[in-house]
Amino acid sequence: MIKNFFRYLFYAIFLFVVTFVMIPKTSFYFMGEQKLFKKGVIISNEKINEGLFSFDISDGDIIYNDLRFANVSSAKLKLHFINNRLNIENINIAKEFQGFVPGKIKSIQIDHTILDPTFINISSTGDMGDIDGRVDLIKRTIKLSLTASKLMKSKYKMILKQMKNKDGIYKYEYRF
Amino acid sequence: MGFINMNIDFNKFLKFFIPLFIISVFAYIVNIVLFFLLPKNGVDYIEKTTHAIPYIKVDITKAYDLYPKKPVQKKLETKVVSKPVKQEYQLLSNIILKAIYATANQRGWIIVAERNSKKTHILEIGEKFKEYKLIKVYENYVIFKMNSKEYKLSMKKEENNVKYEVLKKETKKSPWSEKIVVDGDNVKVSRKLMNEYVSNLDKVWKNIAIKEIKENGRINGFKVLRMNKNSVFGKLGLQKDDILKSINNIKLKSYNDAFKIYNKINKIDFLNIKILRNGNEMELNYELD
Repeated sequence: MIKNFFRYLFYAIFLFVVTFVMIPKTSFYFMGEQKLFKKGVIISNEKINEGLFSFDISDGDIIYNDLRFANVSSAKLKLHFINNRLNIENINIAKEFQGFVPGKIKSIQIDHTILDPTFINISSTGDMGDIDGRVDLIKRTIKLSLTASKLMKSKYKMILKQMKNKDGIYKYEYRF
Repeated sequence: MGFINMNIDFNKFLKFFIPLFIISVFAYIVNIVLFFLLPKNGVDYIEKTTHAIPYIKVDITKAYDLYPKKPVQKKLETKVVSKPVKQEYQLLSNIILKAIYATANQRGWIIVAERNSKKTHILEIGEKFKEYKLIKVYENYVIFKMNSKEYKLSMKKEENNVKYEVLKKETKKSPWSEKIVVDGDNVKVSRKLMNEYVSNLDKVWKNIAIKEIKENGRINGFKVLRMNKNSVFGKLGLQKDDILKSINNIKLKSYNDAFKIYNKINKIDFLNIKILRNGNEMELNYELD
C-alpha cells in the first residue's frame, strides 16, 4: 500500500517535471504579452532565451500607453517546482519620467512557493530605497513597505504623500 | 537458472519504465496541443512616425499685404555723418493716457482722461483735446502738438493695461518670478517661468491634475480634473473640466504625444492649445519669451 503510494507520487512528480521541461514557455510569454497589451503595456525589442527550467528575457523596453517608460536589462524566471523566482535587474526609467519616479531600480525579486501557494513575496532595491511586499492571491491585495531613500524623501514627496508613514516605513496597499 | 533471473529483471524494468514513457508521451501531447493553442507571436512596439507640422505663428494680414509696408531702412551705410539727435518733447502732466491702439506709420487712436476727472475721451490722429492736437501714436506713447511745440504723453507703468502681470513676487522660497505678459490678443509667457515648471514637476501636480479621456478605448485628449485658479495654469486661461485636445497641431492621443511637447518645450516659441470647453472648441495661444 505504502509502496504503491510512493510509486504514484513519483509518477506525479515525474509528470510535473516533464511538463515543466516541455511546456512552451515562450508561447505562454507571448500570451502574457497580449494580455498586457490590452492594458496598454508592451514589452518590446527584448531578447528571449528559453531553458529547460528557466525563461530569460533581456534588454526589453517597457512601453506604457505609447510611451517608452523604461528599459529592463534582464528578467530571469527560474522554475524550481517548490520555489519559483522571477528576478528582474536594472530597470532604467526613461528620462522623461524621472521627474515623476526615481530613475533606477536595481532589482526586483518576486518569489512564489507551493508551500505557501496563496502568497507572492516581493522585494526590491533602487533609487527609491528598499521595498518589501506581499501579494495575497485570495484577498487580491498587494501590500508594500518602503524604506525610503534620501533622494525619495527630498525629490519625490508627492509619491510618499500617497503612502502611510508608520515609524519611518511608508506603507501602500492596493486591491486588484 | 541464470536465464530465468534475467527475465525477471527485464520485466521489472519494463514495469517501471513503461508508465514513465506513457507519462512522457502524455505530457508531450498536452504540450503540443498547448503550443498550437497559444499565440506564436508576441507584441512589439512600432513607433508611430507622426509628421505634425510645426506650429508657426502667422499673421495672415501681413501675408496678404493688408498692412502698409514699413519703410525700408538703408543697410549699407558705411559712414556715420552725424549722431542722431534725440527729439525732446515737453511732457504733459495733467492728462492721463489710458490706452493706445497703434497701427503702422504712427497712426491709430487713443483713450485719454484728465487727471482730476474720470471721464475718458477717444482721440484719433488730428483730433484735439484741451487744445493739444494728436499727431503721432507710438506703441507706448503719443505726441501732441500745441502752438508749434510737441508734447509727449506716455503710458504709466501701473496704468499700462496689464502689460506685466506679476503673479508672485520673488521670495526666498520661490526664487523666480512668475510673469505672464498680456499684450492685446498676444499672451507672452516667460520662458524662465515655463522652465521652472518643467524642471519642478511637483509644482505642476500641486496645481493641476489631468486624466486621459478615452473614446472607443483610445485616448482622445486630457481632462483637467483639478486646478488651482491662482496658479499659472489658471492665469493662462485654463479651467477645470477643460479637455486638452491638441498642442501645436499635435493631437493628444497618447501620453507619448503629451511628452513629445514636454520634451521639446525648450525649443518651442509658440504654444497653441486647442481645448474643448462645455462642448465648444477653443484655442489658447501663448508666445514663449
